[in-house]
Amino acid sequence: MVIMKKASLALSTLIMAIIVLSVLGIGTKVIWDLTSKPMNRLFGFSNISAFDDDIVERFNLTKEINKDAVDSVNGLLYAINSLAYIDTYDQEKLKAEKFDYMDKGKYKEYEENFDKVSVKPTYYDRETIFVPAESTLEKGIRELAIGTISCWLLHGDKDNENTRCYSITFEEGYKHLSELDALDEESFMNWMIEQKQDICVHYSGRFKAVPIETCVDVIEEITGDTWNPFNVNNIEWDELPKKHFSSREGKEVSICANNDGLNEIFFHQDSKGDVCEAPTNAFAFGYKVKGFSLPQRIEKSPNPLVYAIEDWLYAYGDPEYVLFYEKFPEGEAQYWEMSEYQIAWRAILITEAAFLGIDLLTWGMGSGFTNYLKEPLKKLGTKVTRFIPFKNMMKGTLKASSTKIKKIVGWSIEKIIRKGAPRATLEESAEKIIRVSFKKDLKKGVYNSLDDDTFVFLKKKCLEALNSLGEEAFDKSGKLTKKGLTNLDSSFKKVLEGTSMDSIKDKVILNGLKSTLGKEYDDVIYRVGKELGEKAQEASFRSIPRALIRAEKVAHRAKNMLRIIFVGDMTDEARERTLINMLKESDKALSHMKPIEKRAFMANQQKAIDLIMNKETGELILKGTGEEFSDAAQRKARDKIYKILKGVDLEEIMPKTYKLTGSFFKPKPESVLASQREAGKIIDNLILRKRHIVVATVAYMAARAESMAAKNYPVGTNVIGLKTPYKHTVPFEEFETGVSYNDINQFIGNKQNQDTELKGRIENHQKIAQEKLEKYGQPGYQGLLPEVGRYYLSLTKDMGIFDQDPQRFHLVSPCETDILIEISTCECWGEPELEAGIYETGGPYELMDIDDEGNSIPMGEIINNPHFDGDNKMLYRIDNLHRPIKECFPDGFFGRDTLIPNPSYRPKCIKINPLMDNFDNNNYCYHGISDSDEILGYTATAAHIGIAVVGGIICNAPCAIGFGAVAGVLGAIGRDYIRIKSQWPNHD
Amino acid sequence: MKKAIITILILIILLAGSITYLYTNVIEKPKQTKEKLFFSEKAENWIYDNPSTLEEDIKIDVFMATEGKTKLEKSQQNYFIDGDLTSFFYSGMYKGMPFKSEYLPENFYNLTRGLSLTEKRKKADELTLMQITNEFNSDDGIINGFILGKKENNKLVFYIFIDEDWKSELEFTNIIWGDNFRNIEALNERQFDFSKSEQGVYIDKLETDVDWYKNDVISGGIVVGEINKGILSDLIRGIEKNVTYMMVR
Repeated sequence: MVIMKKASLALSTLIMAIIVLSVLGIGTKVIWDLTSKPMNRLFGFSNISAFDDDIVERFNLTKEINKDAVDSVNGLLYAINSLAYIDTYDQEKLKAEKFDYMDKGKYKEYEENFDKVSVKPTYYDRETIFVPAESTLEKGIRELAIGTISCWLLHGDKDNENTRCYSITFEEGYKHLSELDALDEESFMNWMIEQKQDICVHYSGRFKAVPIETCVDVIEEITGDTWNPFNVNNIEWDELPKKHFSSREGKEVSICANNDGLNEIFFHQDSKGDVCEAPTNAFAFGYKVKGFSLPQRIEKSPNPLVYAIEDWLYAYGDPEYVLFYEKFPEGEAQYWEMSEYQIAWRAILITEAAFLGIDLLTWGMGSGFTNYLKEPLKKLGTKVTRFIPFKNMMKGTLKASSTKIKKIVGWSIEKIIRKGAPRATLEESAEKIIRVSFKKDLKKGVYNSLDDDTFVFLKKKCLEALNSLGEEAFDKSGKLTKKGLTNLDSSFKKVLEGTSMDSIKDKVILNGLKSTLGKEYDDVIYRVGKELGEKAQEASFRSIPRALIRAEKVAHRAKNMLRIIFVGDMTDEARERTLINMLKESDKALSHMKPIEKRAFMANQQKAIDLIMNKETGELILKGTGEEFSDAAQRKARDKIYKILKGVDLEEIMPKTYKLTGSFFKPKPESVLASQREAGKIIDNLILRKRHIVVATVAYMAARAESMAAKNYPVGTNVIGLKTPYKHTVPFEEFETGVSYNDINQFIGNKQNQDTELKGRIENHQKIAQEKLEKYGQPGYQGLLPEVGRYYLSLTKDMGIFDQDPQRFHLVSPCETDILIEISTCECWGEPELEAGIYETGGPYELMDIDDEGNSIPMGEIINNPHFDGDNKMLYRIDNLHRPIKECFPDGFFGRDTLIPNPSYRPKCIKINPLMDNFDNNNYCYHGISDSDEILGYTATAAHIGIAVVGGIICNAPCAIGFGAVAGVLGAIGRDYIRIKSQWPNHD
Repeated sequence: MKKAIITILILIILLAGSITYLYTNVIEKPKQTKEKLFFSEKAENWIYDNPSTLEEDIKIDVFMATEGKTKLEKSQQNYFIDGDLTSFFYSGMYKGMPFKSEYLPENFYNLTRGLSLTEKRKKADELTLMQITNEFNSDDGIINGFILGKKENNKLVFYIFIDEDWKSELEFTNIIWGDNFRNIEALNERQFDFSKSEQGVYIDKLETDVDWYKNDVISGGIVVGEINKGILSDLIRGIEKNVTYMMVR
């Protein structure tokens, strides 16, 4: 009985527990639905493994959001690839056949559709006539007649070769379109016959080389109105559908001539441009992408379903879709980076003057970072002498025939290593020595930790060593002797070993920065510091799959922020203020984000958050104190953190975030705490809870900052990058599109079955892509064919209307437009500057790399890109992952010291022209022309280059590429008078 | 009998002759070199009233002049010659102020702030002071000029067009051209020849020493306007000069 009673009690307790838990569970589900499991995780209340379930959901959500954008980019890439392919091989045929024309009528095959987006050929080898809106009906028909006569004549001039002649466009508002619909072949011809004298007076008045009588003869011949009963009419109207002129496409009618059988003049729609099967060439042929769309969910009026502009920018920082070629152009982000946002960053992290006193090399991260940098440098020193014997390297290099070296790098080492040589020459020697002496493990695709600022440091040390050599190191002619070589080796080692961290804190860096930046110094320092700090670590990232790299970057930023807060060299009051400001800012920012998107956004940071919330973070924070990882040290750190957090009233400073999670700030079961202990071995419920909030806040802030900075990292040579808030910048091929871009065949579609040459080339591309992947660890096909590498992709901005300079291709949401793509030539300025890391394709500054045997090999082999062989000469830079990125600087970019344009390059380019006929509000695409262009010009970017070039010290231009954020800061903050609200999403 | 044979022989000869004539002149459609009716070689014939506007604009028909091998963008001519694409880029200076293809006064952006792009363009048409374009009004107060590269007799020549406003506004018009502007001594210089005109447009032609476009890096070109070697030298040194000219490179 007792047993039964006890059992009954246990059962009822159990049932009660189940009910309570169920209620709690439902409550949890309702509330946490808003914030998702990642947030649960952040706040320390869920099971790690359950996140795997979320991956599918997260992916589906992202895929759904991106579909329109993905289809649009698919269409655009297809057009670019097709055009490049056609131009490349048609040019070869042209030259081989001595400038004859290519196959007729084949371009029809290249039409494609990507759901709502269509890609159709368009032609430029014809004349365009506009009929003004106020014109009479008679004028309209007369232009059709004049076009007919001209087409007949020029057809004859071209020896009756099939020819595209005219495109006649009736301006918007022309009132007689429906009357033109009443025309047909017969009525048009009859009209020409009746009016031939009048038509020909007009015709010969315009075309003075054609007498009236000749014009009349032509009309009679075309219409068949001659004495010869066998002369039939030569006009074909059948290709025009009924009511063509009033239709959507109808305002444009094309005229062409075809000689198959009889010579005939065809009237047709623009979309049937190949009716006459006229030969053409890729220069006269292009693509029109219709229905291109990068959607952006913002509205100016209040709408619960979409974002207000400021909310979006506050929550995400960047527009929803940012599309670009190789890298995002410097300075373009200033049109949406809100100055309020910039100020918020300063408020968070730069709280008092004492904070600025932090060791600048350590970039505001406290002494822990000094330790962090020391190790890699020490290893590098060892590597120089152990793995790649400096002496042997020098011997080997000298041994290589001077012809080879000269050919490869433009000069021989013997010539330049000379006592008394000008400093500039010795610097070049030092640079080259360092470059060639570090072997990169190309097979694994992993580079050693020779990142840019370390490279600069080593170069300096090498120069010191060169300068320290005595007379005996050189022969009479000034060349380095064998003994000199040995001396150089040991001098260099000595110089490295004798280097203290103090000397690394090179005053020149500081002074250079200070003088260039003036008032913006503190803000820039922080951003620069974050970037450079990451670069030091980035080297170790290169073997990590890309998805993890992004997460690592976010985690790295977050850790840096934590270091600043907990370990940074500032007073406790400043520390607390910093923390509170950050929490407040995060609360405000997160509150701007729509719940469902908060979920998607945070879910995509999941990996980053996992990395933050691990044992290593705890260890790193402790390491930052400079002490060994011990129990005593842990307690010390814990006490420090506890002291800070004790005074923080979360409910007060983070009302919105707290509201979401407030009911869960209660003691938790031991099982939950146990999993949290792994994250740092800090065992205090209160601290755990608050620390997790801090980490969550930091994770969000870091993720947003990383997201915004990510577009400034180049995505690679000959690659299109797409950045969204849901994923960091990736080459477009990483998006799940339903079309696998790793399969190169997908791009060419089913044409490979018809064209054996095409099939053969594609197979060759696949073979090369596979070899690159195996040999160099470089990904193969990424959405753009290798043939596209011959061109520079440029954006035609408001050039059709104003003289706005073209720019590196990029498009930004919102963007709804048709796009014209064509082959053209770009005008690019500048000249090679080694110090700034700017090279010329095929020039004497050809970048070299070293294979396993120590042989120099040109980068061109690795890239397999004809552009870098010197065909289509232009400039390029090397990015932080040692990939060449083409550059087309506008005139005046490097400052204008002459009023006559400097020498310029003329590379072939593919021009991408969004046809924004009417720039409505909320259709941005790119920054349109405005008065700020006059004021800003390229100052932001020039300052950016200025940073890189001042002594060439901070880092070479590859590092400067990451300075897009700096340029953005300079643009937004340094020029507060320009705008408080962003220009985006207004085009102009 | 004899008569019959002679008659038959004559008929055979006539028939053979007819067949030969028919074959060579009709069936074969002989491609004789004849003067082109549409693609006129004379520059005056390229200039006519612009059918695309109701204004009193003229048009220099580039399609006709280059037999359809040119595509004009706003600041460049893309010319497809011998299987290759060659481009010529325009720029200019109006009273010491550089521009690309159109010079707008400094207050333009202030005056048009807040207007749509279409409205801005309309305003620009009213306010523009100088243009490098092939469609213009030759005496509307706006200085207009245009330079066209064209292949003739297997070499490239350049036609230069300037309007009445140009002639009356500029103090003088010279042409300087060569491979490298910074090698002043090697440059060619002469006065613009105003003797030829059509519908208010003056036409001159450069036929020699115009290979500057063949280099990989373009350092030379053609400058037309208030220019001479001395002025050019000053401009290269960064000395501002209150001059007006157009340039193609």
